[in-house]
Amino acid sequence: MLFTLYFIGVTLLVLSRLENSQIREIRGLLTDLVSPVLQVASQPAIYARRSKEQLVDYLDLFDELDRLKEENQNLRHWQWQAKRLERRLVQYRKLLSAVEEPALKFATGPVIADARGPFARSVLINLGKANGVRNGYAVINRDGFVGRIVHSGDNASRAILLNDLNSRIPVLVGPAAVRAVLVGDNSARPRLEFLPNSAKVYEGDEVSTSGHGGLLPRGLRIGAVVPGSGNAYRVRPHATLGELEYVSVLFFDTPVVIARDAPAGGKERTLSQREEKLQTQARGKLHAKAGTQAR
Amino acid sequence: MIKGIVPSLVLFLAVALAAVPWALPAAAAFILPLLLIIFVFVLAMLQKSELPAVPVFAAGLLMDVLTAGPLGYWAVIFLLTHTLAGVYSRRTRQKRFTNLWLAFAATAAVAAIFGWALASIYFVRIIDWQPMFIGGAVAIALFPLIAWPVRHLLGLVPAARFSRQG
Repeated sequence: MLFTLYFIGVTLLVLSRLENSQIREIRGLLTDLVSPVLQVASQPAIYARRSKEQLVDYLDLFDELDRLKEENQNLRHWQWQAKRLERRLVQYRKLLSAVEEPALKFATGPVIADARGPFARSVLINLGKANGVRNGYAVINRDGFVGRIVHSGDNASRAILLNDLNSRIPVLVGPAAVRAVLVGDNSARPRLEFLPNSAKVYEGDEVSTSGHGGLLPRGLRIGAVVPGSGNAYRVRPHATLGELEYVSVLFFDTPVVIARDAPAGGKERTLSQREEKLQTQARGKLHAKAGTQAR
Repeated sequence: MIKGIVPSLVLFLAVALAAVPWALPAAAAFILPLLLIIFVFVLAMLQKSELPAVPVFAAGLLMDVLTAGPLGYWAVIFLLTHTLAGVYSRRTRQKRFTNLWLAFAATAAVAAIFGWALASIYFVRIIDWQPMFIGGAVAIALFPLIAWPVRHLLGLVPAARFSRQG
């Protein structure tokens, strides 16, 4: 019996390594099954984290008040600047006859499990296909981009974080918008790779998604450049990836996303097309009949 | 019957609690899964018949699903811990707490080394050993804090006998 279990374990490991599709389906099914249990189990963790945050907030109350007053003063200045730039932008758009970009829709949900161990840096989110989530959608929190959906179940979805070993994000670096690829290596700070030889990158430069490849929206803030070993650069994400509580999934439908994850309502769509065809035929017959009557 | 399924239920509950987001730093990724081997070790060694290998394997698989790792990884590590606990249980009659702790230290060390080797084989490269070994060391250090209440709350060992021997 024990030997059989060891054999099954090793076989599952080998099949997982070979990325067997059935294993992926079983994993998705099990994730959906356990997500309600996890949602309940995560409540003590959420409560503990909130209590800790409240305690820290209470201890820092007076310092925080001073900081907020100063920040408010700065923000008033930026608000004035933003309004001025917004007005100018409207004028420029009119001059260019530019088409308005549609606003991104999103859904927000809690993180109910996060990955531990040597393999993945990912989180399980309590949002699934039922909420409109699809594979490939970007995941953000209040601090910026954190990852993307790799498996959307009916009620829960798995998102790999930007520091995961399999994560490759096309990015723009610094004010010169230098193109690069942000490569995860399971460490807290992913690497910047494929920088052009002549590129000038400095510590503290902002890094954001470039939108190249058509999977992610352009301009989602990621983090700041920090020096790595040798001549390499790494990125310190703005979001604390180990402490994600609530995240938002951006519904950014591009041909790439649609090709990778076809809409769940495929049958429904075919049916409505057929219905539409029948309705058109019926309308045609009705018009023909009306025409005959008129004659 | 009910008493028989309690160790398995405790193990599954511990797996669920180990997977929820406790806001631990990235370097502590191994601590919670390796704390689970304390549960496997204690529950399997004291009343082996009440925690068979199948629920241990299933709990490991659940851990694999929840942590998005390859299926079979934690299942095999939990199974190894269960096997080692069984070997110790069969060979030792006097289960003094200090001896139990030492046996767990050896088991945790084997589990950590095995886990690191298995992950390295899976990735076909030598992975960073430090997080895994820190996780193992934390599990060894926290063993009394988890093992003692688990043993007594579940009533697996008469408290008087345990305190006299430990």
